[in-house]
Amino acid sequence: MDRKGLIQLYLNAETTCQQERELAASFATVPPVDEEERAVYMMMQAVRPIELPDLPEADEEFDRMVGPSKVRPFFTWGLPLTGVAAAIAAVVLFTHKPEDHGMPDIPQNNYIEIIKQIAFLTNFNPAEAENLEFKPVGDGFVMTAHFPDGQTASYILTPLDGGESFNLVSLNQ
Amino acid sequence: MDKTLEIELSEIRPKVLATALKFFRASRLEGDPEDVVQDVLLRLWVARRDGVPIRSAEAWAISITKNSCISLWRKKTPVRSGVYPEWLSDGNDASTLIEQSEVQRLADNVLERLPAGTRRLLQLRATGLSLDEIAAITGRTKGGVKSSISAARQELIKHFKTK
Repeated sequence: MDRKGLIQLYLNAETTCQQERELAASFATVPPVDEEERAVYMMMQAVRPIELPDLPEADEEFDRMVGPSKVRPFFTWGLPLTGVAAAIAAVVLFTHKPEDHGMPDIPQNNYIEIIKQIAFLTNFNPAEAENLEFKPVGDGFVMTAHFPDGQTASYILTPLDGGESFNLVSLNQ
Repeated sequence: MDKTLEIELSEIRPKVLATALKFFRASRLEGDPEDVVQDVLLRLWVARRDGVPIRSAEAWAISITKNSCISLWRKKTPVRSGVYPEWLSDGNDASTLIEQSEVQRLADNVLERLPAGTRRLLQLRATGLSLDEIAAITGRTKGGVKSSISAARQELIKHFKTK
């Protein structure tokens, strides 16, 4: 194909990469002969390939700023929840008074679900808390989360309907 | 066109974007994460073209994304630059190079009038990518890429004709 034909294809973005290389190379041997050819020649010089500069090895710096890219759910939620569940179970066991009409008998794995519900209802993420404190209050308990920035968040959870359901109240302002 | 590479680029794109977005949010870096995405995918394209052995393209791309983000953060400026294609400087004498310098100055002024995204499409094409590959890297359709490049070239030639 002659240069005029290639130029028309080029302007319509219908040239292949090979044809564009041929068109560019033709200007190195035969100078532009008219205004259109000169304009195309200038355009081809103006639009330069992208240069890719060397990058630093900065994976660790990135992870320090953002956190690991691959988050494993078990380690972000599983361990804290397991700890929380164990703490709640301990509170229940040591404060349980069968003769009272108090704490309902709840399977241990239900406490994980309770903490998940607290997290769901309150935007509370146990993984972000520095530590969790549990205090038995009446039939229920108060959970206080202490965060690294000094803030705390407290919730009171009391059983309803003999433990069939719970009432969750945020004690935060 | 290497169909496998096009698919690979398209599949990796959202993961690279997610990583870049995460960094931009965490570092409060101003700019467009899309620039990082295109830079990373272009690097993957170049690596594949050059036959660089890559065991996991996704892991490779995420690592490059991290490096690219940190590089951008250090510079605090978008990663964009260019060089003359080799074929343009081959066999040119001194007077031609001086003329090229003047042409380049005028051309840069004209190019600056284009939107950054359109300029980027032209640069990707000048780097040697096919329309399919540009579409995969930019997340646009092949038809959209083609019409944007064509419109930009038609626009540019009008400006260059008046120079």
